[in-house]
Amino acid sequence: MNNRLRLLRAERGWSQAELAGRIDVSRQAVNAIETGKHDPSLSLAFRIAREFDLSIEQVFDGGEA
Amino acid sequence: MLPRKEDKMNSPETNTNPSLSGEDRLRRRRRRILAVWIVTIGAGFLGGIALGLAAGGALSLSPLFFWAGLALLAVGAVASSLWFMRRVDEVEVIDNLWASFAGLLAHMLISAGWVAAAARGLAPAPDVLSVLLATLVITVIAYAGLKLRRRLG
Repeated sequence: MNNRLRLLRAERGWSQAELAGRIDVSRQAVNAIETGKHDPSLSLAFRIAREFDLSIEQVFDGGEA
Repeated sequence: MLPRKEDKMNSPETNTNPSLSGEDRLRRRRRRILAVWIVTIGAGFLGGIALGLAAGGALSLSPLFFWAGLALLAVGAVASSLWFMRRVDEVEVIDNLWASFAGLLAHMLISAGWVAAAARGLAPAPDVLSVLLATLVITVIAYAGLKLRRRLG
């Protein structure tokens, strides 16, 4: 699944560790999602989208990475 | 915009302090997970020593106490595993499940293979402790491999 996580994070000047702490997952989990190695659960996808004040569709597009 | 506090979508591990920076919250989270690891591994280590002493006869126990201790160990193992799995994120749960699957598969293949080989006189009689040790080693190698793969990206 494609996502804009790295871009959104860079726009806010957040490190992977900063985002990981905000959504309560490990830094490895953020890295795995950013690189498309892990598709987050619906619950985690909602948490990520909320952290950026965006909808899920604005962060994840559902296509293959 | 979805509500932040009242929704039911948060996973059980979500219990963060919004006044802290994300990096501070991550540090707290790491300490929390480390504590869970230490308690879980420590309990397993102590349980294993007690079981080893009981099995070796060094710890004299009546059959009732032995079975009660074994039941307590089983309940503790299940409870601590559930406690751990509910406090880590979903990537950690997936890595644990894959490593457990590798361990289970190894256990079945080693056990069945060794029994079949022994039945044909190609190997000595199966040794339970050796099979358990091999299972543990393969599970740990699988887990370490998954973690290494994630770190190397």
